[in-house]
Amino acid sequence: MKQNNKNNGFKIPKDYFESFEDKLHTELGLHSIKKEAFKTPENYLENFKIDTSLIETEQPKVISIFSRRKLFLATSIAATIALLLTLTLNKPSNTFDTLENDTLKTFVLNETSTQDFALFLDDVNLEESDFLTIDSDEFETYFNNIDLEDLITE
Amino acid sequence: MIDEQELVKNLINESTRQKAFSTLVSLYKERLYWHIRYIVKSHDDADDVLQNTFIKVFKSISKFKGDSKLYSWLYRIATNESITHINKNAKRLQISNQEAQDLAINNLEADVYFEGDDIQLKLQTAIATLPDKQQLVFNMKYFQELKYSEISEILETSEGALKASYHIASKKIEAHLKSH
Repeated sequence: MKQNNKNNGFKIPKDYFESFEDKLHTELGLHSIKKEAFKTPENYLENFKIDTSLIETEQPKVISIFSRRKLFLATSIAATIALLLTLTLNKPSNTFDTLENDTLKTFVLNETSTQDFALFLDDVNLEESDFLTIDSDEFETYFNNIDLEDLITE
Repeated sequence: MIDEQELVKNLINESTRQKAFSTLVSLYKERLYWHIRYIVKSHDDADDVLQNTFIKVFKSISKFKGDSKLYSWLYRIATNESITHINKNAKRLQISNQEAQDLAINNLEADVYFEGDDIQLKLQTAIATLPDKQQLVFNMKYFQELKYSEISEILETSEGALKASYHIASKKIEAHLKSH
């Protein structure tokens, strides 16, 4: 800013800026009230000291979190959470793919009846094309090859 | 004359810290006290804030990077601590910050460490009506007689802006004094 004002032809009175604030205060009447109103206790500043040893050794009070009541509460909460996690996370996922063949066989043989299967069938919609077409010659050949002794044995 | 860089070096060094800190307190306690006192008004509050300021300085001296001058760093901590103190008082009393400042002015009348007359009380009331930044600038210039260059370092504001701020503050105070 000062450089911009160089050689511009304008001049200011000597010490104008230095005395500006004084003049402003006089003008505003602030000079007359500028005397120290705030006081301190006697020798307060002379005796002011900071005890740094207190700053360094200042330790917050340790409050034990393991009171009997709190310990019981904490244990109960932990047990509840553990139980919930066990029930939700370790739940076996039963899908058809993981089913053992023997289990399925046992279930079909012991736990079901023909009527159960009949429930899944809708005879109204059954059509001839739903059944295998077996050639009568093949059927005759198959029938002739059955060993009767085997059937008797079974 | 104490070398500021040397003082900072001694404050950071653990073996010389205690002595250097005592020197720092002796050097700055008076200036910081008055800076704080003009903000918080009561002596008891100023004493609390001054203690807190030096404790904070002691604890965080290792964080002082020397990017600014030591005195401006100290003044900034003192300013922040003073404002925090006013905010805490306001919160404790469940009133606004402005109401907390007004309360501090009202308490001056009964304060044994305030010997101002009516006009000085009115001046304090007028200062309290200014925005926070203008209050700071006015107090630092009018009462503490700091140079604009110093205030500029402390408040990190340009000297031009500070001059404008001080001028506006003075005019507002004049208007307040005339109307009350």
